[in-house]
Amino acid sequence: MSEANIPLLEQEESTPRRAGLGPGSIVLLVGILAVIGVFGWALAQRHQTQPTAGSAPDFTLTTYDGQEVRLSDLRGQVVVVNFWASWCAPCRVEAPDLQRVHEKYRDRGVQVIGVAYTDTDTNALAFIDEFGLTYINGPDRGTRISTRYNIQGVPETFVIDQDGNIAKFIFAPTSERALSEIIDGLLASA
Amino acid sequence: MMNRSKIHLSSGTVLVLIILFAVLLAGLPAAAQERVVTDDEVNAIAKQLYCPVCENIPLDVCPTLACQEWRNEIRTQLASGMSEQEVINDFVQRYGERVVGTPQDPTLRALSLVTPWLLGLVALLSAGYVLLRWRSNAPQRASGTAVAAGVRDDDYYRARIEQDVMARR
Repeated sequence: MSEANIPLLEQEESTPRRAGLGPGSIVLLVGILAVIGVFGWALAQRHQTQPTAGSAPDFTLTTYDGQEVRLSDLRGQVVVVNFWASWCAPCRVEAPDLQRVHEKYRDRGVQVIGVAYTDTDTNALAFIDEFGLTYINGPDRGTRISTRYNIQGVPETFVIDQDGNIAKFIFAPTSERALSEIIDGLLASA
Repeated sequence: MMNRSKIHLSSGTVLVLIILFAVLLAGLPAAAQERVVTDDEVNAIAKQLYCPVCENIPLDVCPTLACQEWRNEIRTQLASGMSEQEVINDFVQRYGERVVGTPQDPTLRALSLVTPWLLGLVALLSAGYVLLRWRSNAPQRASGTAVAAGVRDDDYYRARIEQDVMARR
């Protein structure tokens, strides 16, 4: 075969690569970062826990009697804030204890407040009647109070000292003895 | 000639009849309000709400006591004449927007409402951008420069091969 000097094929000039990211890549990158940001925020919110120290989140509770009680107005008293529900079995166990604590300390500058969590008014009032609860009780309308306290369920109890700071968080059904111990300590230190 | 019998009622009987009639009339409005609510009607609303205790579980399938009580509450409200939307609005007002699955954090709630629209807008703009790029590239392909070059190359090599074959003979 004769040697043929086959000339090189004419090559099309290739378009030079652009330095940096194109508009589509930028949009994709921003989108991915935004999704990561949103998921990260959501995860951070989910992992927020109940306050165990510091200033107790203030709230206003409208009782079943129609009265308005504001936590900050009770500064100077020890306040026991108890989140409960009529469908909660452990709440039924601790209700008599809370009533006894109320009766024992109400003349000594201690206020017990019951906050009904996602309960129907009918059942909540029946619960109050059943256990003869005479301390302040009201529904958590819009679950605003429980959101501020980041409660995970019921029952949960917060003991707030005379300066409005959280002295103790109880993540379980409480008892008269346990509460008395905490309250006696706070009253003695005042 | 027929004797038409006349019904004689004593005053006591008339009084009893009047009282009975009045009681029946009084009972009619109450009966109208307390209508029978079916499970399907309750579940049609319950599936739009979420369990207050267990996350992300619709109310219609949640077995907890709290959910049972909420379903009973829905039944009571429907029986009293409330509409579906009124029941849902009442639940949101009482228990917060979490019952309809809306995030409670204000920032996340705003993001959940804005993000779908934002993504749609970005998708639309991206599609428009890509279409414009395709249209701007299309005239270059239509000139057939690259195709002509390919055909030319084939003809050239065909000619060379034939030339070589002829040279061998």
